[in-house]
This record gives sequence, C-alpha cells and structure tokens, in this order.
Amino acid sequence: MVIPIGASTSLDADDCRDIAATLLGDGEAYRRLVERYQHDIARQMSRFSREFAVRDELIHDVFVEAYLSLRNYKSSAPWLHWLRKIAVRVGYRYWTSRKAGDREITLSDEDWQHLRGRSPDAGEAFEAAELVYALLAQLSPSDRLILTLVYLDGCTMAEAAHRAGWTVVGAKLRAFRARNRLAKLIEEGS
Amino acid sequence: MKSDPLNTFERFAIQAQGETTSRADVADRVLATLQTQPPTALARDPMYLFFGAGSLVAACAAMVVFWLGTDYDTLFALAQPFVTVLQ
Repeated sequence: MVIPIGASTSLDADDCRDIAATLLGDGEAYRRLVERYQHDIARQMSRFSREFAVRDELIHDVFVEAYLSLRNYKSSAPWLHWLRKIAVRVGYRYWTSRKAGDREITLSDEDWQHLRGRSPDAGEAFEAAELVYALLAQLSPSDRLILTLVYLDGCTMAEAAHRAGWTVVGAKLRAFRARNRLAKLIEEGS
Repeated sequence: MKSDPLNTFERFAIQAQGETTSRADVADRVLATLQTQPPTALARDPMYLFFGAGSLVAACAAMVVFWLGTDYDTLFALAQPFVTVLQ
C-alpha cells in the first residue's frame, strides 16, 4: 500500500507513518494508533452498550478487526473514518447476535411520561442517555442503528449511510420508517 | 410537521450527546490478542477452507454436468447459454 505522507491535509502524518510501520510488523506503531483513537471509539461504542465491560470488549474487537484488514485501508480518507465504519459493523453485529429477550430494557411509567413530554426534564445528560438508550433498545437493530447514528452521533444522512455501508437513499428510507416506528412506540408504550 | 413524541425524543438525544465517556485503555489487550492471532488467521479458519473447497467442487461438478448434457459438443456448449437467452 502506498501512503502519501503529507499528500492530503485530511490525513494525519503520524497515522500514515504508524500504519506503514504496522504493515511492516511494528507492534508498537499499532499500539500508538490504538492509544490515539481508543477514546473516540469508546465514545462511539458506548452507543452500543451501556455496560463498561461490554463496551471495552467491543472497542477491543474494533481494533483487532482493523488490524486484520489494515491492508484494505485506502489512505484517501482519514483512518478514523475507516475505523468508525468498522466500529459500526462490530456494534451492529453485537446487537444482532443478542437474544431477543436481552433487548428488552424496561422503561418505568415515569420514563414514559418523560418521553411523552409530560414531564419537562429527564435530568442530567447521563439520565437522558439512559432513557434514550432504553427506548432505542426496544427497536430492531437496523432501526436502532440509523437513529443512533443520526440522533446520538450527530451524523448527517450521508455520513450515517457511509458508516453503515448503505446508500443515502436507503438510509433516508430506513430513517423515515424508524422514526415512524419510534413515534408509535412512544405513543403506545405503557 | 414532526409529532410531539419525536420532538421530546430529539431533545433528550441532544442532551444525551453531552454525556461524558469514561476513558478506555485496551491497547495492551489488543496487542496481546494480535500476538496470539496472526493476520492470516481468518483465511486459515477451517470453516472458510471448507466453504472454499466446497465451492470449487460444486463448480467442477456443474461444469461436468453441463458438458455431459451437451453431448460433448464443446462449440455448442459455449454457444448454448446465448442461444437460450435469445430464444
């Protein structure tokens, strides 16, 4: 793989150097890459599980998969963008591999009141995140993914499509259907 | 216009974006895993070898059946798919 160091401002020269060294078998170079991006990936993987042990396991899997397919990385885009696509794939696989019963996180009556807008505030960011996570967990993995990417990761539709490996039109359609199902869930939830 | 439930959800989602994430430290574990799992591990996985060999055997069998079905006429065998499509 040819890595044009300094050829594009969007590429980090340190990343390029460390990727090239990793491909030549330098483990310490890969350690630097992991240490540089593990916090970004931790933030992203916390959307897939609220349990720290599971989240750390997912982060681990992301970097192992990234290493195993590092030769496929095209240096036309920053490494983090490529890493985020792998992170979505690992997280989505985690959701789909869980048994149906595992998805059911119960929401209390108070939570439903919050979601229907009858109680004005969910509290701090942590409480809001818990509530949103529990609600999205009621949906199918594909609905949950598009809504997570758009509402929690703040992706545009094009970014969400890119990360999930869908077309933009497909992502828009999924988002439309997922929003409808979410609205119905909030309205009908006990 | 968006319905109220989604407006409320969006408000909570924006609030949730501000949640701080605890730091992760997985570098040692990742390197330990990679030392026990070389990059070619996937390709050497018995399951993938089984699928690969199975595909090859199935393709060869299909070619033999196709050849026998055309009465050993190689030229006809080559042309037959196009003739079938045109019909």
